[in-house]
Amino acid sequence: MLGNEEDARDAAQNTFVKVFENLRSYDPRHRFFSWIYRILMNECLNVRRRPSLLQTHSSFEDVIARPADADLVENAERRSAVKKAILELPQTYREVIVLRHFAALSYEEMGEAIGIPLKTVKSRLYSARQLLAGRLGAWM
Amino acid sequence: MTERDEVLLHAAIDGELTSDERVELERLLARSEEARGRFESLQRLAGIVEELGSVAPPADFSRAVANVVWNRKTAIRMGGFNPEGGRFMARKALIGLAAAAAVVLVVFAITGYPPVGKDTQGTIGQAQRYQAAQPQLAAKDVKLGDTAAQQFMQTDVFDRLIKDEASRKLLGDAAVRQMLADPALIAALKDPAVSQALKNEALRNFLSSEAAQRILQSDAASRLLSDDASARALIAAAKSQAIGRDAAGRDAAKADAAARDAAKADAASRDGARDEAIRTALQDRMVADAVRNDLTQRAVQSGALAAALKVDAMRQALNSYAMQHAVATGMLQQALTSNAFDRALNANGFAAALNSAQFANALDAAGR
Repeated sequence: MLGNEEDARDAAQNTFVKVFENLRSYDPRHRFFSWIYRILMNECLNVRRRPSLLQTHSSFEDVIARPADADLVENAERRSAVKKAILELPQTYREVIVLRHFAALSYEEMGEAIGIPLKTVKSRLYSARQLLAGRLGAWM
Repeated sequence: MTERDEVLLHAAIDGELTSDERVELERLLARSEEARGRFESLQRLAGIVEELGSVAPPADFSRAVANVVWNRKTAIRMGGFNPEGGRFMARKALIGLAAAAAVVLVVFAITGYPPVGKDTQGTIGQAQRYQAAQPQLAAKDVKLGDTAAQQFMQTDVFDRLIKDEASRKLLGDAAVRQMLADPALIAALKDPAVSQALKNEALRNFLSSEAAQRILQSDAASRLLSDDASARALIAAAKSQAIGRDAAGRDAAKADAAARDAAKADAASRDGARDEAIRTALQDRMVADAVRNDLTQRAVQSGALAAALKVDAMRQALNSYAMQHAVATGMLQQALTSNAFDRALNANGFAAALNSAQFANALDAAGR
C-alpha cells in the first residue's frame, strides 16, 4: 500500500493506537475488521502525505536478495515490476487491489472498509485491473 | 464481450459468484473464445499480484504499539483527565480478546452447553485466584500472529461472536482459558467424528437440556465420561431404553442387542447407570434422540471425545460460572455449525494459536 516498510510500520502502529483510543466510537452494526481497515486506509493516506525523511528507493528493490540463478532473477524482476505497478496506481484503485488480493476481503467488506457502495467497489476493481494489466503486459 | 461478461469474469476471480452466475459463466466460457482468453488473463494478473504475498510484522511491533498506547494513557492521566477511565486495560486487550473469541467456539464444540455445577462457587473462587496470579497484559500479548485465527476473525461468525455478551464473559473466565490450552481438547476437536457430531441438532439440543446438566453434575458421570468404553456403554444403555420405549416391542431384537452392549460395559458404567441423575436423564426424550444418532455414536467411539473429557482443566471449565451464562446464546450454536469454524479448527495454525501464551494472557486482561 505504501511501498516502504518503515511507512507501513508507522501506519499500522498509528492504526492500532487509534483503534485502542477510539473503541468507544466503534459502531457494532459494522464489522470490527472493516472499521480497523478504514482507519488503516486513512492512516496510509496520512503517511503518504507527509514529507519522507528517507528515500523510498531503499525499500523493496534494495531489500530483496540479488539471486544468481536466471529464474530467480526473473522472479525478482517480475515481483519488483508488479509492486511498482501497484504503487503507481491512484490511491482509490490501489486500496481495492490491496484489500482484495492481500487482505482477501469480500466486495461487501471492502465497501464497508472504504465507505463506498458495492457497485463502486466492482467498478474500481475493474479499472484498477485494467491499469495493472496494461502496465504488466510483458509479465503476463 | 459485454459489460455483464466482464462483471462475471471479475466476480469469478474474486470468488463472488452466485450459483446462478456460475452457470452463466460456464456458458459464457463455453461459447466465447474471447471470454476464455480474458478470463485466463485475469487469472494470471491475480496470480502475479498475489505472488507478492504479505510481509510479516517486525518482532517488536506489538510491543511498540502497546508502548505508544501506554505512554499516551499516562500522559493523559498526568494532565488530570482520562477519557478512557478504568476501562482502559480491557479496551487495550480487545485485540487479543478478538482473536481469542474464536477460541470460545472450541469450548462449545466439545462441551455443548455446560451444566450449572454444584461446585460453581469453588470454581469461581479458584478462577479469581488464578486471574489474580496472572501478570497484566504485556505488549506482546496483543500480537495475533496466527493466520488461521486472523482469517477466522474476518468472518461473520466471528463478528457475531465478539458482539455477544455471554461469549465475552466466557472468555474472561480463567478456568475456561486453562481448558483451551490443553492439547487433548484441540486434538479432539480436530477429529472429524467429533466435528460431525457437533453439527447434529439432536446432540446440541441434548447438551443444552436440563437432562444433560443433571448428567454432567453427577459424580458418576465424571467417571463415565473419562473412559471411552464407559461412554459407549452409556450410549448403548440409553439407546436400549429409547428403543424399548419408542418401539414398544416392535424392535425388541434391537433393544435386546443394545441392552447386551450395555451389559458388557465396565464397572464405571454400571456405577453410572445406578446413579439417579443418569437414570433420570436417560428417560429424557432429548437424550434418547441424541444418543440414537449415528453421528453422536461415531464421535464417542472415535475416542477423541473421551480423551478430551479426561482433561481436568476441562471438567473445571464445565462448572465455571461464565459457562453457565454463555449457555443460552443462540448465536454460539450457529457459530458451532459454521463452515468458517470448521476451516479454522482444521488449520494447524489455529491449533497453535489456541495453545499460545499470548491468547491466555490477553484473555486474562480481558477478564478483569
